[in-house]
Amino acid sequence: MRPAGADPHPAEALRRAEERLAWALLALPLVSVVGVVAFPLVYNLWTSLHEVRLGTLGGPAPFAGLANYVRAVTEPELWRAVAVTVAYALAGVALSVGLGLAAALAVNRPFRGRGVFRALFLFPYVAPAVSVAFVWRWLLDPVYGAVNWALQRAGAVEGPVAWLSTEPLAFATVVAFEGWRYFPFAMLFVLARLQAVPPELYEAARVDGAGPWQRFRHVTWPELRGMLALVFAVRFLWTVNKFDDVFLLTGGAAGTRIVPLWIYDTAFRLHDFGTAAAGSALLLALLLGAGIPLCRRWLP
Amino acid sequence: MAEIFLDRVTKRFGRVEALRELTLRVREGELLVLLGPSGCGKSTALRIVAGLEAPTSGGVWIGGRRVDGVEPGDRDLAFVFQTYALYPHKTVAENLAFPLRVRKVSREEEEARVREVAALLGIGELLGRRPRELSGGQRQRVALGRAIVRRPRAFLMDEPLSNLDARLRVEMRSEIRRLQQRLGTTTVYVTHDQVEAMTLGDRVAVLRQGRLQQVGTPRQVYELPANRFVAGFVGSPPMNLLRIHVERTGDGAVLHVGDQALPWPAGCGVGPPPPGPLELGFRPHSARLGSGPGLGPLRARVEEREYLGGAVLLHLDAGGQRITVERPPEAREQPGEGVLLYLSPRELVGFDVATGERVWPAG
Ligand SMILES: Nc1ncnc2c1ncn2[C@@H]1O[C@H](COP(=O)(O)OP(=O)(O)OP(=O)(O)O)[C@@H](O)[C@H]1O
Ligand SMILES: [Mg+2]
Repeated sequence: MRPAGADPHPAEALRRAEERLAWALLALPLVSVVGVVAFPLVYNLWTSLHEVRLGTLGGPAPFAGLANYVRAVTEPELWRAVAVTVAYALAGVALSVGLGLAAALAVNRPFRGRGVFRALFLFPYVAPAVSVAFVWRWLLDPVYGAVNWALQRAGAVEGPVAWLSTEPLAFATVVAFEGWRYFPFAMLFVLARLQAVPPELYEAARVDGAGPWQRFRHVTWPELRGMLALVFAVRFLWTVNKFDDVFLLTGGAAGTRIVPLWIYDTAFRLHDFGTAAAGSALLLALLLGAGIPLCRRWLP
Repeated sequence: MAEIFLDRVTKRFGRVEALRELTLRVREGELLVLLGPSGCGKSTALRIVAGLEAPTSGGVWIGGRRVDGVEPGDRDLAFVFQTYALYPHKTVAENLAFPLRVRKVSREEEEARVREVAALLGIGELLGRRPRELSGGQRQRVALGRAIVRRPRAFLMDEPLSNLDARLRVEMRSEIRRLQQRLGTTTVYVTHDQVEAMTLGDRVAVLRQGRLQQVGTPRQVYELPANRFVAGFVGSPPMNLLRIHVERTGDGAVLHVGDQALPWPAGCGVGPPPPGPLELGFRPHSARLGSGPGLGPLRARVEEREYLGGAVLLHLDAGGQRITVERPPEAREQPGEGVLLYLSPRELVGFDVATGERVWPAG
């Protein structure tokens, strides 16, 4: 102990020490946020306001004003991509949430081998995107694919089907892939919520005379509704942003060019970095516009 | 309204035996209380009657029909849960209507019955609220209402009052009693609270470790407990148990308590207990202090005095054995004092020292 009066403001000193500690603890996250989020964001905005082509990449580029934005929004391909993105995200997320709900209900009740099923169901979500996408491509390949072989053997189709390169099959396939790959995410959340439903509610409903469907409708569904909406919203925002799955499956061919792929093509095929950056900024604005109200709704 | 009959019902959960050969008849229209300590199998018995659990062996009859394999919803019973189990997303009115809706009762009748039950329970104001907007007592009323609205053949209630505070519990207790008598519906009521059991039950069935100990009116169970366990579990403070040795002498008997010998009072109208070692039971309020008549005097020393407001409890040492007597609040005995006890022969029971079963008086 210091003698009393040695420090006229011990509380003030403590406060300052705590402040220093707080900055020290914040330093690493701050640096990484600036490096990974803020810098690219600012650089993207700068790019979107300049005429950045292959020749001017990395060097000084002429200021373009809003020309890039005008070019982007008058580009019909971008609007087509927006439509594809929204349809893809809605359908894919709906499918993954639906499958996740079904899977969660299936593995919620105890049965022999339930643990194996739960682990198996997680596989699509935890496996690397590149490997599962290539497995799908191989399975669906018109020439070597197992799916076409099996369908032809069964007499379900006349000749081989080009799942990933004909419209509208390719779109349906990427939606199916999204549903398959992300249903475990919904399943985990739904399962956690299901475990929290008081079992007496089901017992009360049984005694009241409710059958399985009525128990689902009057007990399970109202308990899950909020969680399902939240999972749907979060997955929707993530899917709108998603690049790798569709890129790996179709590369954007046959009516599957989503906005992130349009940006990619504009930047790295047409080398029009300014317009691509303007597209990115628009996508960001769209996501913020949709995301902020959603977060307000669910986060206290 | 129906009789419920459990015939040698045994229930095992893995290695745990929750019920063993439980045979019990709940008479038409009566309120039978299943009483016992935590984990004795009360809830299990109730859940088996409801069909929420299947017995390992034995059978259940409701209204003269065997119900094994019959779905809970088809048994026409209502269950009231300790946690109320109200549907949280439904309003009070929707909760009350649910059993009717599921059974496809017409809308007019549904509405009439919900209103009738709400009036009966005094919850008419609450019909538009959701369960989380209700107090514990209100939720309990809604849970009762949901049971009543269907006019089932029997009510099954699993500790319905244990989540309420003491005052409300007493209030709801008499309300349940009143409702049950008015509706005349066969009721099985589970509790571990012996006061609740005594005040509520037409009859009380005492359960211990999955085994039925005794069935009888509250008075029978209180005055003539079937064994040491019931004697200790029913009544507060519990029945006193004194180790004695009974010696027959000519036409009378002497009861030895430690080194004291108490002559059996002649002409008291009750015969003496059987000769040999015995555990003598008597209620704390049935001992007189100071002077007879009765069996005595039993010398004892006051160890501790507990003031309860309406009464005083004296904890005594009688030749090394602890007993408790209840005295009026103005009683003046203090710790350290010696007292003389006289016991009323009519209020004595004797238990076998080894088995704990009551052996005297018979019946
Ligand atoms: N589903 C179950 N699985 C395994 N054991 C169980 C199950 N239900 C009850 N038991 C066991 O059976 C015994 C009786 O349980 P029960 O719930 O009937 O007791 P209870 O008399 O209602 O007790 P309480 O007063 O605490 O509610 C206990 O030992 C309990 O652990
Ligand atoms: Mg219980």
